[in-house]
Amino acid sequence: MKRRTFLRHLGLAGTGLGLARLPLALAVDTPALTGYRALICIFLYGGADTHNLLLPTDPEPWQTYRQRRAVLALEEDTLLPLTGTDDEGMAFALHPGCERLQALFAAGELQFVRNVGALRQPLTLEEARTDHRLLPAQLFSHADQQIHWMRGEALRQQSSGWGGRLREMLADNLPDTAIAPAFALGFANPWQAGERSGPFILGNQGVSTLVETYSADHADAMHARLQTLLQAARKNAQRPLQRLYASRLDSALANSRQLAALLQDQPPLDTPFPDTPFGRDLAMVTRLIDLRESLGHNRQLFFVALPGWDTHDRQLQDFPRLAQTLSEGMAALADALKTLGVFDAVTTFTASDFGRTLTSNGDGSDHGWGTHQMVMGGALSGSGFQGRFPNLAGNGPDDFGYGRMLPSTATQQYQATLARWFGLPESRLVELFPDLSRFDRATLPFLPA
Amino acid sequence: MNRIIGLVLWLALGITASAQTRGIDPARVDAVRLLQQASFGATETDMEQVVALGPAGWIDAQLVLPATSHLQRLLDEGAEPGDVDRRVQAWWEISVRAPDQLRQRVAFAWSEILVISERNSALADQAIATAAYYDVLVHEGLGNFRDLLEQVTLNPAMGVYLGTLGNFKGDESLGTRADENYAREVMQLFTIGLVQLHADGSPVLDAQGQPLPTYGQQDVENLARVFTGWYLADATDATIRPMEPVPGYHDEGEKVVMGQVFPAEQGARADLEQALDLLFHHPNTGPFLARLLIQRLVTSNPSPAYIQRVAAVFADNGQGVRGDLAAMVKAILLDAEARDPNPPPGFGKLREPLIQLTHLWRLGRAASANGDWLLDYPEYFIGQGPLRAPSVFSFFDPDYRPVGPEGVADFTLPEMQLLSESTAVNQLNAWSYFTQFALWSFAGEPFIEDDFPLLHLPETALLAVMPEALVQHLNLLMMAGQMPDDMYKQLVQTLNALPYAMEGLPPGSLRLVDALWLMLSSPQYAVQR
Repeated sequence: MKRRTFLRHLGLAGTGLGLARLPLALAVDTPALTGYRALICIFLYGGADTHNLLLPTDPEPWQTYRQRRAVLALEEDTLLPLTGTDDEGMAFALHPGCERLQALFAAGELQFVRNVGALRQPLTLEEARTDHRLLPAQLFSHADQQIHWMRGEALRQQSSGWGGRLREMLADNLPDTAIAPAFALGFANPWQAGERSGPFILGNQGVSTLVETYSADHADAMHARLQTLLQAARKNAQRPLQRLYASRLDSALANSRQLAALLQDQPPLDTPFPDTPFGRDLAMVTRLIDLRESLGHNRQLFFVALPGWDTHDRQLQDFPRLAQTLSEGMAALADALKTLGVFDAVTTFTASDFGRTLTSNGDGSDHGWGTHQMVMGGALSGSGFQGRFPNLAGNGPDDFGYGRMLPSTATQQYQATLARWFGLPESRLVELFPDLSRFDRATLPFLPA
Repeated sequence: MNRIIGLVLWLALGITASAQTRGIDPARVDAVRLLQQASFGATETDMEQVVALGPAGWIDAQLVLPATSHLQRLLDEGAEPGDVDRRVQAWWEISVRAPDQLRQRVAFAWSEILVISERNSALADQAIATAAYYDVLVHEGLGNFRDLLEQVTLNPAMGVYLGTLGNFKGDESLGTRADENYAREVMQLFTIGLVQLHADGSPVLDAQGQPLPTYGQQDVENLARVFTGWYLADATDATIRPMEPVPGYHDEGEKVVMGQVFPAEQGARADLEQALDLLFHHPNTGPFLARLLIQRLVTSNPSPAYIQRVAAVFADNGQGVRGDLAAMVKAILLDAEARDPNPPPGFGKLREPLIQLTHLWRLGRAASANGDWLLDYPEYFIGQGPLRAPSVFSFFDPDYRPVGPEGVADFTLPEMQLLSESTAVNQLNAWSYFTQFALWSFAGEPFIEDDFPLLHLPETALLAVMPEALVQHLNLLMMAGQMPDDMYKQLVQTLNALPYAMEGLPPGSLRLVDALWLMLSSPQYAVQR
């Protein structure tokens, strides 16, 4: 709410500057967005145990890993080595279920952003241990940390997510379309919620159409009657809850009608996806990217959820399946985007509630902090190993306890890199991510502006 | 027949005379409002009973009814753990038909607070265990919260869902520690919440205006050790019995949780009792639960004073007893804010899709040929199923504030998280199936399956001879007389344009089902006020 008021004031201030200067100001601050770009967020719900996704293979860190992971440790000879080393000369390998990610990494189309997590400012272990006021609120709580990742700020001054705000900040430079250029597969998420609008939420089968009962004419008449009720409800100042609901129902019905028609006329895409809910979600994302011109979109945001990562129990049984689902889905997505000729224009990134403890609770791990995430696309540049890998040692310089890793990169730095590539000018990054002003660099070098 | 027409004319004339003033008997309006809050939907019979007994009298009468068991129904049917469809069918049958409506409705509310879910693979084919869990909510949901909390904690389905079952003490030689899952969620979601609360549910702030956390990571780690050492009882029906301690698997070291010392060597059960006492007596528990239960039953945006009044009853039921849930629910339902006949604009909540359907079926005296209720997995159809939430955070966030159009103030509206581009159309289609398709069945449509619930409302359909009478009748029973004037006029006009009698259909039934569909689909009905 504060931001909306703030922007409105800016608008008023702008008119005071005089018409002659206004176009110039716009041209400096918000260059026209040309070409097509999209971000796909894959959210690993539950807090992915990335200690078992990206593993150090040099003897000393490997010994530390084995000893502290105990019953959860993977066997060294099953791991998939990654080409090259990071800038400290460390070598890494992948979980055995991620064969297809190994190939993408080798081709320079996949990178790891290491030990990224929720921070409100740069922090030493000593500070983290002694001054709780410096920490983001409610570390280790699922809901709160999902919100931190998705809102992109630590102090909860925003009610919107960084994806939604990003879209609204660029609204003047984007085509005005009936269907907003943000889609969520499955359900509402804080990332895409803006101050004024949310994403289009749909299932991976597309959208349903209204059934005809009795007769087509009769159904049409009834739907027209419902529209009248809906419009009346939208105007009823005495019933604000009804207005909120009516407004959402109205846009949901109109949007689904329009998209259903577009999807129905779309020729089938010739790109196979795994027959899993996640694979089907990614297939629908690909179809929506393919429809970008019909929708009038030159920027798009997508949100896909892959749940099930809260591996307190049965981790050795469940994690391989999760890793494989993620790997095969992402690789199929890469293939499909290449077929459509948009791999350079689409950046896919993963996010999760938090990392997990390196130590085990018997057959699983508990809520942690820093985590390793992945970015994928044809626009990536620089090293495949972004950020700094943590020292895994117990009571080591990065150990916040039980192998909860103090993050060395903030979620905001990771996200600002994506937002800048999407089209937000460098000068406005702090507006989107207020905490960034406390960090010495706003972005990482994995994507150009 | 003449008597019915006479009744219709009498009703119609009476209503026509008072249409402008919305002159429905205030006692009946209040009765239906209470039934919206406290049951799976108002019926005419229930409404008259509430009018006769008064709201307090009706609640007292409900409280002494025997509890209807979901588990017993499954066992009587000889159901197996894999028969999850039978568990859902039992839920429909009991929710729509059981006389102990208040108890069942409150149990459903608890199922959205103390969450387990069959969508978790470990519970996907454990219908006997999940029915036993639901029975805990039925049997203890209006008892004392301390008993409810203990039975929930030791229930094997919850034990599987949040990891207490088989949570064994850390083993240094293996490098393992206690599982923190239940310890965290029992505090965050089931009892005290994340931040310290005043008695009216508002957060306690520090000098910088930031909320103060209720507990820290050390407390979670210590509480995780408290909850070690439990496993299934040694019995053939262990999945429906409370878990038992396993000697040697409990962490016997000293623990400190929120400043309270748990002495070493006191054993798994004493540790657990002490922890539950600690949470039960915590000052947050009353206001935390008061807000959640008020949201489930009455309004999404209760005033701090309302929360405080209900929390006070949780603290002391008037006889010095803490945690009396029957007294608490009674306080929620009889509070002036719940019963105010002219509530403020932001009062109320969205109806949940599951309860819209039970409401229709109760009101419509629905029944299928084989006694079943069609929807085994309702979440795929209407976006919600009993004990089938996406995660421990339930279907909706109690703090969810939807993005509104310019000029509409912010309100908390948790249930709106169930509305999306895909569920909106699916829900309208569901109301079509269960109203308009139910009409086709009168004409002998052959494709209506044996488990399709049909509506039986011949007398109500007869009211349609005078659309004003029908609309006012449905306004009372479905919307507690809250229908705005413009909606009333439009529905009357719509029905007047439809034929009263059609060949092959009972008189009035086309008008009736179309009125039902429009109301069920409308935003005006979606908000329960």
